[in-house]
Amino acid sequence: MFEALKARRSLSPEQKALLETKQLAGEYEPGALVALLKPIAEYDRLSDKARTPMGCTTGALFVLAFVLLIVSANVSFYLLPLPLAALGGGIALLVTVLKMKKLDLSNNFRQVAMPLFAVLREDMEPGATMNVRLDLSPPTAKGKKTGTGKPYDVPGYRKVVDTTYVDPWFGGGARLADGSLLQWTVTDDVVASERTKRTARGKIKTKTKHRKLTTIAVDVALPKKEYAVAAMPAAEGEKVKVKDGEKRTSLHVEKRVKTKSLDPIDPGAVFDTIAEAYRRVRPAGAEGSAS
Amino acid sequence: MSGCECKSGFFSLRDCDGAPAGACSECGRTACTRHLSPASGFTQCLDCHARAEQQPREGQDATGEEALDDEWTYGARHRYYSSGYHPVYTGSHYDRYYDTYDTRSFDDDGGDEVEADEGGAGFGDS
Repeated sequence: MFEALKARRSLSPEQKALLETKQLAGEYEPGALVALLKPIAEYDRLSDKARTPMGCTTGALFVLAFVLLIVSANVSFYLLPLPLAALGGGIALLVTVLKMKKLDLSNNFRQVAMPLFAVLREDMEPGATMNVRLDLSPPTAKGKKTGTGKPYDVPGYRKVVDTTYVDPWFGGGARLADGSLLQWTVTDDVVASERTKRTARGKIKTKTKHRKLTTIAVDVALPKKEYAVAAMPAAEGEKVKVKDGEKRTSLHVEKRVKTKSLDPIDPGAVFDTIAEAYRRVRPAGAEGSAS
Repeated sequence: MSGCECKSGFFSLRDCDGAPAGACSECGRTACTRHLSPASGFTQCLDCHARAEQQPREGQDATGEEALDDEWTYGARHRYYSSGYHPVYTGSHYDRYYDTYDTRSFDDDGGDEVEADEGGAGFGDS
């Protein structure tokens, strides 16, 4: 907990503002962007790690306060400061946990966006900038809700209500060192399925299950001076469209990834989508196939 | 070539040509300061260090969080190429070092043969 609080205190005003708004948009040099975001990622990781034990400790302090209150009422009122101290500690910890939860960032940030920035830094000229749009608010935030379905029955459950969300959380564009123009978007379509059932003891319990469809769309405009593009079938689960221009060959590649949780996708899925365009090319003027 | 012999890039490889700062103790290639691995004490190039390290890597801190520096990027590049991606090479200095990744444009070369290319992309060896 103290590590997380220390990490938050060490953030610059710009980083703290980013943590509050959870929005990033603008032109950034990839190295500078990684340097700007790394301390935020580190805070978010420490905060994620600390919140669960802090929540448990909060609960324990409230129970302890209750027990000490009973003991002090039965033994001596001089013991009253003890339950009050436990209660105060519990309240302070609860406030801290709630604040940390409010500042929590989507793990997509650490596990997908940051690795992509590091990789693109390698493919860009030193000092070149990329355009980035990043929304780090949770995928099930109110503003991302697109609708709630009518309740329906599923065997084993009394009632199921599906709520849908669209989260276009990541997008950007960059000019790569080879002259190619790259643009990407990552959009999560989330279904939160609230399932209510009656247990064997007669209690009504509700749990929420998530399904997520991530659509990664990449456009790469390859300079004809550098690359010749060969016709190839698309890889499984991907769609590829090729458009021939005067100076560039444009490829639109789309990949969809289904998951049964809100956990981030493997960043390799984004790499694969960009790589799918590059798999089709060979240097202009080179003989032979692009294997 | 007289500059750094390492190749930059992830999805496509290109020549670096940075000013040489030393030679890699593994592959013998000359490398610029950026392409010498700090984690190896600047004795290996980032490519050789990535190949030697595999997992766990120096690029990870004690808690497993990725450092996302050049060491990480070259480790990720090595793993990505090893998983079956064959990068396209757009430079002009042939180097057999990347043959293990089946780098495209080296495919038809078959050796150290010089083959200049007007577009600056191909198999040439200067």
